[in-house]
Amino acid sequence: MQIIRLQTDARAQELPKIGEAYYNYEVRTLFPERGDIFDRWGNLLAGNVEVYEIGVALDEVHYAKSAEAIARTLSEILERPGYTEIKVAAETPYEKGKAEFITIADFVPAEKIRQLEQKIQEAKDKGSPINLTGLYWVAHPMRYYPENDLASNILGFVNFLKRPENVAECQRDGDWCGGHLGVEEYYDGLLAGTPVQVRIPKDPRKIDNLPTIPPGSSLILTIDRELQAAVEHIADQARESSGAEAVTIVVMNPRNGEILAMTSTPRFNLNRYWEYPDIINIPAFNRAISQVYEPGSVFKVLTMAGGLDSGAVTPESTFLDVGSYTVGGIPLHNWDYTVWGTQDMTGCLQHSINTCLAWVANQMGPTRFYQYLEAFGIGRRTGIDLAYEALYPMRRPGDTDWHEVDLGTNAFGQGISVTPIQMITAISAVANEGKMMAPHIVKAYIRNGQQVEVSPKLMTAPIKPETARTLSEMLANALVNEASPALVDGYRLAGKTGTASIPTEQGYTSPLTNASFVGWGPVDDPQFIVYIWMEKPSASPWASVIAAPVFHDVVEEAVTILRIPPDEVRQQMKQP
Amino acid sequence: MDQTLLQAYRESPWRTQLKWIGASLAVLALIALIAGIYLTVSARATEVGYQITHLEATREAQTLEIASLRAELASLTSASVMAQRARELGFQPADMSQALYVAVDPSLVRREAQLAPPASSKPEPLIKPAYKQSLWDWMVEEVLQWRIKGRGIKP
Repeated sequence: MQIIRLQTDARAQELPKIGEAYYNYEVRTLFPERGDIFDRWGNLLAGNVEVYEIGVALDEVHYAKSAEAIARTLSEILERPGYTEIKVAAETPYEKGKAEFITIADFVPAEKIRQLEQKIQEAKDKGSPINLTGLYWVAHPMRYYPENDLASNILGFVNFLKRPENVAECQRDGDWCGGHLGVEEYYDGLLAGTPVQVRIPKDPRKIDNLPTIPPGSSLILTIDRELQAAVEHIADQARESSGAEAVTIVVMNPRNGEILAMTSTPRFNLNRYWEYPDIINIPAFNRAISQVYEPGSVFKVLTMAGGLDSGAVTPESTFLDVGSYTVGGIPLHNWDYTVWGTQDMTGCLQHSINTCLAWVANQMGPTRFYQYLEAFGIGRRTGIDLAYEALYPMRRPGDTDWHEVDLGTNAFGQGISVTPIQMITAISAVANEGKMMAPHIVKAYIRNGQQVEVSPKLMTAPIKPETARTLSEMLANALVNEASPALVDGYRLAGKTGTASIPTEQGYTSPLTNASFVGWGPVDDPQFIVYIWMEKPSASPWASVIAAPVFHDVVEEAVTILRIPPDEVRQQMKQP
Repeated sequence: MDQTLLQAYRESPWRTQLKWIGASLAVLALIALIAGIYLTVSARATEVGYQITHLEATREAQTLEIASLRAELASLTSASVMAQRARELGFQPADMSQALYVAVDPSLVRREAQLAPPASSKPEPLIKPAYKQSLWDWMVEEVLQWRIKGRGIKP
């Protein structure tokens, strides 16, 4: 009975601790070193550095009367706290169990400690050692981001001011604990590793060895550091020149869903995250995944894909544009109220004719149209491995808030909200023979000394390969026909602009727009797909004017950094 | 009445005393020896215990230092620093119009990060299991094998 009681009684859980105290064992929790984060080439993006906690043992300081010397010495080396604060802290009366040790400073850089040690040594060499009895400094790791603000929207950060030892206290306070946002939060458990409780004998004769604590897993991202830096530079320039509130750019490999670069402005120095309270909120931190918006005409790619794949239209189908098209009793107009006359489907995409795409959706019918959107993942999260992916539910026929006119407006990207990552993932199916690969940011992880590769995952195949190829050709021809500034010499590219009015409570009354562009290339062997979103640009509201040149700049950098030769060179290289 | 005279011998007291002293000294020497061995072993164990503690602390410090140095190296070779250094050395970003593409051997192509052995490759143990087996383990294993064979159970 006594054995059962000891096994089940909650108070019995305390017995081992009491036993340890009696038998001179100390139970200590060891925290593993947090795993590193690298780019795809092995460049370190997040690591750890050595910092120190400095404190005083009050009884020793009191006994040795060293408070003044400690305050003087430390204040000469540390920027904060000052002489008076240190002296007051060091002179705190010792109280057993209540005031035994006081931390004077934490996260002190290693070089400051080297200075302190040098100072002590110099004084000793001169024959007048400084009385620093009771002063202690202990090393511990601190998260460090050597690239400062590079890829900050992807990485997130670790709230290192709350050390792993204080996580329970941190959670109680409702503060961020451990990794926050981005990869750091999504993979927090993996990166942080598992703390281990060990029994350490106080009797030195009984010490044999301390268990080795495996470090947290390290991550190798799909990001290319050079491309990321170039894309961030382009985004900053585009924001400045366009007067946009924010610029978001995503570059993905459509073949396997690897994110090669992803940025949204503003970014910030991850090593000083506490200085940016305004942008450390979820939607603003990484707009590519956490901010939904009405995409406008880039959505027409999906409508046309559904139309072609379902057989509702062919590239040769013609539409007579008279300037408006009525769906559900409501007339819909083109973006500039132009009348385009008879157009084939390539012309509809080239001139971005709203009425034509509303007609295509109408030809498909609501059931098929929304089935295709669902197949493209609209209304669902992509599942990208970053914290806080946003979702705006898609209204479908049968929902109380769905109206017949929505079929027409949704066809050209109005009345439907998505994130840039949803859009690039959906449209990547057109670039990748109809197959939609799951977007992901982690390429491999290192655990227990072994590198485990993350396999690309096929999400779905919403359209047939021939549909994808046909639509790619149509979009490539459309870019050429309109002599788009998105074009890059030597490379055949497919793409689509999107200028979307921003809805207000009174409807689409604001003159402000969201300008987007999606494009990929080379068309015969797509190796990248780029999505650009410029929020409320002031220089021009039109995506063809401000977003298309940004795409051009990104592609120029991408083909150089990813070492993609021009089409002609590629064709020559293919020949034996 | 006949009287038989028996001669009795008795060990001289000094010899008995000497024996006792000798035996006591032997016991004392034995105790001293055991105590000496115990003290030596304890002192050695304590010393080794402290050495282990010290080495563990050193290892921890060095692990931290390695991480720090890795981060410092990454900082010195960060994208922005390298771009700045390249500019100072007179380099300029590659322009597509200047790019020259040549066919190279696949072994010369830049490879993606392989920072640890792949998960599938399990390293061979450096020491054969037989060398790490205690006599007791060996005996237990042999007995088990013998029993399995005896019962005709296929392993």
